[in-house]
Amino acid sequence: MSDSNDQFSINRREIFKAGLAGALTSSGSLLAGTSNQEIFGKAKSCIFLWLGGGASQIDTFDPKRVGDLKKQPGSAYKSIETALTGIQLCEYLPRTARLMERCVLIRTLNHRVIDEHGIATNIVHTGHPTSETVVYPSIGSIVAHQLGAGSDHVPAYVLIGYPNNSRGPGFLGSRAGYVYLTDTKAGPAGLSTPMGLHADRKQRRDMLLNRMQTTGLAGQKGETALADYVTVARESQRLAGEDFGKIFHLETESVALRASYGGEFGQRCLLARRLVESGVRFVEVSHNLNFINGTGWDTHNDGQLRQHVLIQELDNAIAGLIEDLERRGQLDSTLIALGTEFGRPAEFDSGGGRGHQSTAFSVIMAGGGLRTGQVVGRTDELSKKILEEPVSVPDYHSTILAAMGISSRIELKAGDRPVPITEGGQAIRKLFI
Amino acid sequence: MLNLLNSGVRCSIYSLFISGLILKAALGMEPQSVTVPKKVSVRIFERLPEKWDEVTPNRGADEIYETPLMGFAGIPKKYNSQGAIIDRSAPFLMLSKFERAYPKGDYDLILRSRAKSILRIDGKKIAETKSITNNAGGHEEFPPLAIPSDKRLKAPETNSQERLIRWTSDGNRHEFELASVIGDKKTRPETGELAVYLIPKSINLSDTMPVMVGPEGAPAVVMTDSGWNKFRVNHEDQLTAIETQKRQIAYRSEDAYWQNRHAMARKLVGESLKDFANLTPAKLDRLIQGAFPSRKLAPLADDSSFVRRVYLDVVGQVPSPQEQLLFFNDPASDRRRKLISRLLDDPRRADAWMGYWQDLLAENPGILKPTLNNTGPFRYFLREAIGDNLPMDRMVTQLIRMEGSVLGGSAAGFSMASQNDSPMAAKAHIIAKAFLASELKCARCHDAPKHPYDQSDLFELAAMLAGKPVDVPKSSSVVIAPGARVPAISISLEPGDKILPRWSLSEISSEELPANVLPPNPSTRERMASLLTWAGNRRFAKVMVNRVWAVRTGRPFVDPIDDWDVKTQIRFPEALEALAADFMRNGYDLKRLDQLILNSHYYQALVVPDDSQDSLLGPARRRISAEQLIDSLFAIAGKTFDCEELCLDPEGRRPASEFINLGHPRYAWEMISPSNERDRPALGLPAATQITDLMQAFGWRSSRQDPLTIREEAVTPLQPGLLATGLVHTRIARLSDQSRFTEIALSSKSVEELADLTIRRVLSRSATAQEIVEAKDLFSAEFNDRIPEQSKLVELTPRSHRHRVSWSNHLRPLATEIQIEAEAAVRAGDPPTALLTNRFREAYEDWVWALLNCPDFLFLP
Repeated sequence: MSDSNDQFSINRREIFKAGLAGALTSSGSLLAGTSNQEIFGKAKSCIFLWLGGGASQIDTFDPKRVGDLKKQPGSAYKSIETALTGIQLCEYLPRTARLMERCVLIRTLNHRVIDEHGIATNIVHTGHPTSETVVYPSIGSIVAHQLGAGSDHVPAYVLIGYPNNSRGPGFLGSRAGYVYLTDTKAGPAGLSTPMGLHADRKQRRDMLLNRMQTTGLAGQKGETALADYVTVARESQRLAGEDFGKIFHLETESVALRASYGGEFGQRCLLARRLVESGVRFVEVSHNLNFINGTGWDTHNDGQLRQHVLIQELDNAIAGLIEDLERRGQLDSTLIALGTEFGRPAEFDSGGGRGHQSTAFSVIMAGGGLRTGQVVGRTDELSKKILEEPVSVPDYHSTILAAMGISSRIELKAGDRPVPITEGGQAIRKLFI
Repeated sequence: MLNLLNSGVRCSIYSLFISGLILKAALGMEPQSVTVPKKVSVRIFERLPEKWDEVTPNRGADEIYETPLMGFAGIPKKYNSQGAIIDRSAPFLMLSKFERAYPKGDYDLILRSRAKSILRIDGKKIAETKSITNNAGGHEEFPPLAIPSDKRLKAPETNSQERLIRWTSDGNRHEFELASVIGDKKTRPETGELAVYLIPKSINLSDTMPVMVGPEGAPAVVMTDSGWNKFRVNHEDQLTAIETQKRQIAYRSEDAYWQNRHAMARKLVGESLKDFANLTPAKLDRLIQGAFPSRKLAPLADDSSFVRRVYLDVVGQVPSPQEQLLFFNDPASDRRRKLISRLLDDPRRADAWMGYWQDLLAENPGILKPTLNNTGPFRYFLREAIGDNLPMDRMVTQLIRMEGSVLGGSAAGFSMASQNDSPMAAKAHIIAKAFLASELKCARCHDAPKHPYDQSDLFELAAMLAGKPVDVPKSSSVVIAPGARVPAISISLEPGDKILPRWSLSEISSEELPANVLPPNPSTRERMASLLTWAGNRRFAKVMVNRVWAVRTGRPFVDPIDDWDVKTQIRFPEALEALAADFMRNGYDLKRLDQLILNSHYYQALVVPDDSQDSLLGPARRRISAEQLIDSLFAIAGKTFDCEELCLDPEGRRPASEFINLGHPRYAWEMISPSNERDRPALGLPAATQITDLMQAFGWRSSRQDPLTIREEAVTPLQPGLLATGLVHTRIARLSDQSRFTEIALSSKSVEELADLTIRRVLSRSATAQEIVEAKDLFSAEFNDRIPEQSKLVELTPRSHRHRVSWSNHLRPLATEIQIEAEAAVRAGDPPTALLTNRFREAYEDWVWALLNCPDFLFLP
C-alpha cells in the first residue's frame, strides 16, 4: 500500500505552523536531532498500547515520594528498584522493572492543549491540533499508509478497542483505516465469520453469492465499478478466511504462555503479537478494562481505589509481550510503544483520586531495535515540571516513525496540500546511536 | 419501522389498540373508532422561577397545543418570527388537562416522571415526583431495577420516578391535570417518559394492563415497551406537524420581501436570457443532444429500473412491492410523470437530501463535550427548510443569518466551530465552496497558489459573517523553519492583522445591489447573503443547478463540482444555462428543478457506464450511498433501527453544552458517531454502532470537520466484509418474528410466489426464470413442511427490564458489564422466528443474504 514517490516529496521542505508547534511543544533541541542526518531503526511493526483516560505517571513510571491520598501530594504507592541503577518504578510494576534494560522510559512527554480527553486523545494520536481544513490521520494510519501490510492475508492496521475519529485515517482515506475488534473471541468487525454461523451455511452463502456476482450486472461490458466491487468482495472473503481467522485462536498457544501475559489486556497483547507476526504493521491495543475500577485510567475519585489492579495488568502484559517477543527473536523488529492522552497531578481530589495533567507525563517504549535501557527526561520532585529533555508529541511520533524506518521529513498530501508527516517533530536521537 | 403508508405519507393512526375484549372489560366500554376524539390541552409557561411555588402562573401561556393523551415524549420546538428554532427559557411548566368520566370503581393510577410533576384531580393534588437532580460525576450507583410483576410491562427508566395511587371513581366527570417542570440551567429540557397510566382494580382480569389516560375516544396505549415506542413515534409526528404549522406562519413575515425578490429576479432573467423561456424536459434533452450531434441519447431504461432509480434518488430508499404496484397501475403513457410528482411531495424527499447537505455544510455535532471542530446540530434546520421547500436563495439566507438556538438545531449551529481559532473563516470557506464553487481553503493560511484568492479575500468574508473586523489568528499562517527551503507560496497577511468586512468576490458578483434586494436594516450577514443569492449573481444559480444535476445523473455539467476557478470540464453548457435561468425565473424552487431533471429523457435513460468510450449519452453508474443503503435495508426487512437513543446522557441530567440528544433515529441521516475519544466501554452505543460502522464503510463520515461534495469512492474490503457479517447478517436477513421475509415465507403459496415476492422486495423487479430455478433448488424439499405444527412467537425480555447506562453511572464497574452484554446481544442479532422450521428458515435467510450482498443490490439501475 505504500505509494510511489510522486505522491510524496521527501525532504522537500519543512513547514510547520508556529502557533501550532507552540501548542505542541516543548521540543527539546538538546536531545532531538541536531544533525541533519536522519537515523532509522529496524522495526517492521508496532504495537501501540493505549491507556485511555490519562495514566497517572506518578503512580507508575515516574514515582515520587508517597502521598497520603488526601492533603499530602505524592505517589499513591511505594517505589521499587529496577534493572537500571538509580531508576525506580512503582511497586506494582515488578516484572517491567526487571526488564528495564529492554525499555526506554520517557518521563517528559507533554503537550499544552487543554486537559480534555477528546482533544488530548486526538492530539496524541494524530500529532496535530484539529483543523477545519483537513482531518489529520492517526499514527496507525500513517504507518499503514507508508508501509502497507506485510502480507496479503492481513490488513495493515488493526485496532483492538473502540473505533473513534482520532484513530482514523483522516485525509489519507479509508484504505489507510483500521479494522477493529472489541472482543478477541469475535474477531474484527467485517473480516470474520459471524459467531454461530455454521460452515455449511457459510459455504451455501458464498456459493449463492458467487453465482449472483457472475450472472448480474457485474459481468457486463463496461461495468467497471461493479467489476471492481466484485474483485474487492472476493479479496474481502479471502481476508475473512482461514489464514487471518486462525490468528485469533489464542487457545492454540500454551497455557503457560497465555498465563505469562496476564488478564484480558494481556490476552489482547498476545493477539497483537500474533497479528504483527502475520504481517500487520500497526496494532493499537486499548487498555479499557473499566469493569475493574469503573473509570479505567481516568482515576478521579474512587477510580483510584483499584488502580493498582490496572497497573498489575499492564505490568504482566508488557512483560509478557517483551519476554515472548524476545524468545521468538522478534523483539528487535517489533516496536512496543505506550500512549495515553495525558498524565495526572501529584495532588489528590476530594474523592482520593486525581485530576488531569498534560504538562508532564510518562510513556515507555521497548524493542524495535532501539538503544534501550535509557531514560529520557527528568521531572521535578512531584512530577509536575520538566527539568530536562522535554519530549513533544510530534517528537514522540517522529521517534516511532524513525524506529520503523519512516522519515519525519515526508510530506503527505491532503488533496493538493502538502502536510508534514509530523508537526516539526524530531526523533529522540540518543535512542538510535 | 418508518411508519409510512404505501403512498409514503406518514400515518398518524395509532396501531396499538389492545384487543377490544380487554378494553371493554377493563373500562366498561366499547373501543371507539377514532372519529374526532376530544383532546388533552397543553399549555407551556416559560420563565418559571428556579424554585417553583406549585402555582400556575397567572398570565398567558407561551404556547398552547393539544395532544390525544396525557403522555409526553417531547416538546414542540419554539421558533422566532422568521422560523428559526430558538431555545425556551428553562425551567418551564408544561400543564396538561382533560376531563373524563371513568366507570364507577377502584383504579390504580401510575405517574411516571423524571422530574418534578404534580398530578391533580379536580384541582386536588394526588401525587407528585421530585425535581430532577443534575449529575456531573458519573460515579452514581445504579438504583435497584423496578421490574413490574407483570413481566410484559415496561419498567420505568433508570432514575425515573414512579408513583402508584389508588383512586376510586364515582362514575362522574373529573378534571385530570398534570403539571410538569421541564429543564433548568443544568439539564436539557426533555420529558423522558412522562405519562399517567390507569388500571382498573375492581375487575379481576389477569390480562388487564395499564393504559395511558386521556379523554373519551383517546387511542389505547398500553404500558409496554412496544406500546411506548409506538406512542413515542406518533407523538413525535404530532409535534412535527405542530412545528410545521408554526413555521409556515412565521415565514409569512418575510413572504412579501421574497416575492418581490423573485419578481425582480424574473424580470432580470427575462430580459437577459430570453432564449431559455418555458423550459421543458424535452427542450432540456434537445439542448443536451445539441451539444453532441455525433452521439445519441441512450434508450430509456425499463420501467422497473426507472422505479428503483427514482425512488432511491428522490426518497432515498427502494420502492416497496406495493409502491411498485401503484406505479404499474397507472397508464404506461403517464406513469413516470405521475410517480415523479408523487415522490416530490413525499416527506421522505427531505430525508433523502440530508446526507448531501450535512457533508456540504460540514454539519458536525459532537455527542459529548464537543471539542473537535464541532458544530451545533443544524441538521434540523436543514431538514425543515428542505421539507418546507424553502426557495434555495431564502434557505441560504437563513443559513447565513445563523440565528436561533446553537445547540437546539437552528442555523445558528452552523456558526459554531469548537476549538477553532477563527470559526467565521471556516464558515466563509464552507459557504463559498458550497454556493459559489469557490475554493478558499488554501487562503486560510496563505494566498492560494492555484486559485485567484488571497488570504484577505477569505478573512474579509469572515468579517462579514462576524459583523465586525476579525483578527488573523496565529495558526492561520505558514512559518518557515530556520534553514528550511522557502515554500513557493506568498503570504499577504500577518497574524494579528485586523481585517474589515468586505465582499471580496466582486469578480464573481458585483458589490452593487439594486434597490430592494437587501432587507430593511441589513446586517453584514444579510448583505453577504444577498450578494451571494441575488439573481445578479448567476453563478449561485448555476452552482446549485450543477449540484442537483450531478446528484441525479452522476455526471456534472461542470467538473469539479465545487471548484470552478481551476481548469474545469464543461458538458452541455446550454443545458446548464437553461436550467439555471429557469431556476432563477421560478423562485429558486428546488422541487421544480428536480421535476425538470427527473422528467428528462437523459435522467431516465439507460446507464452509460463509460462515457468516454460510448457513442451514447446517458447517466453514470452510481453506487448506492450509505444512507440509501441503510434506509433501504430496514425498509426491505420491515424493521426499525431499534438502536439506543443517540445521547450519552439519556437521563437528561446534563446541559446541552455537554451532551446533545439526537433522539431516536428513523433515517440514516439522523445517526451520529458515538465516537467520543474516551475509550470507555460504558459510553458505547453498540446497536447504533453496528449501523454507523456499515455507513462509514460506504462513505458516510463519522466526523465532518471539512465540507465535502463527492464522498470517497474507493472500494475497500470492509464494504463487502461488513455487509456480509454485520447488520445484514444479524438483522436484515434474519427471519425474526418481525421480519417481512417471515411474513412472505408464511403467506406464499408456492416457491415461485416466494421467489417473486422476495426479488420484488429486494431488487424491485420480478424474478427471472433462472432465479426461480435457484429458489426451487434451495427450498422445494422444505417448502411444504416449512411451518412446524406447534409454533409461537418468541418471547423477548423488554429492554426496559435492564439497567440503562447514562453519564451519571457510567463510571460504575457495572456500567461496563451492562454494555459488554449489550454488545454481545447486538452481535447475536434478532432472535430467529419459531414460526418456520430451522432448515427452511436458514436456507431462505441464506438466499436473502446473498441477494442483499450481490453487487446488483448496491448500484442504482
